[in-house]
Amino acid sequence: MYCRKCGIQNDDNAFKCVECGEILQPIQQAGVPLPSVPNYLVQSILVTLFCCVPFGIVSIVYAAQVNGKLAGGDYAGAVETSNKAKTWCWVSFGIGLGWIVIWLIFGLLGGMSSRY
Amino acid sequence: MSRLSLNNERALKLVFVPGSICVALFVLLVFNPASSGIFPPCPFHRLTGLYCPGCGSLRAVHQLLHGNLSSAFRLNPLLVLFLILLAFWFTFCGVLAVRKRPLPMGTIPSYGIWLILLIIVLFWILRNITHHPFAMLAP
Repeated sequence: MYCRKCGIQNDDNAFKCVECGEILQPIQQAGVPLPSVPNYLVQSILVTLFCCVPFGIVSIVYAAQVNGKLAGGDYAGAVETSNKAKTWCWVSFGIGLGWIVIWLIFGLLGGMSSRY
Repeated sequence: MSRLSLNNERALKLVFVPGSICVALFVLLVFNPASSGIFPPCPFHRLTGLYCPGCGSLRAVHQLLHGNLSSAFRLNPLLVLFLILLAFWFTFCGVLAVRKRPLPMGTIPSYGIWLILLIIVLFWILRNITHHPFAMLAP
């Protein structure tokens, strides 16, 4: 099956496109159970506790909304919110990682300059 | 979906993520964030002078890796509690998987997550209060 958005070939049963994340399956198929929607709660809490930036909190808010929407039967909304939770996890993680890299580079430069 | 088809996301999950975690844990085992300069200070603490919910988490992991549960708890009680819960959860899921029972995924109700959020925010506020019982929450 080819993604209708970006044209990348995907597994026939794939729910989301591996390349762009476009939803490939018809949203409501009679009799076929829908795949579960990850809420990224664990990842959200981990980035909140390890990356020291408030964006992890945003992610937890979205995680809560995912399960709320699933409980309310809003499957498409849940998938969309799940993607937002994922995005904010990565933003948080990226900033945390970037901060470490910047720190190490400056530490290295500082160490070199103090030697001379 | 065939089980052997490894798409990018799966490869990332199976190799890169556990690999990076192991490297990070090894660095944290060898270097103590409290004394060595290779770990950056918390950006939030650096900017505002206040503690964030994650302040002390690296020092706490270092203490955990050296088996000092109480030192770790004093540095960041929320992190230690969360890691213990996480360990129980993964053990529970592992046992279910071995017994070929369905995993209870996505069953945590949304009010449970709001409660977790409330606990984190409360912890954030309380550990910045310099008065006696709350000052213990600071790293």
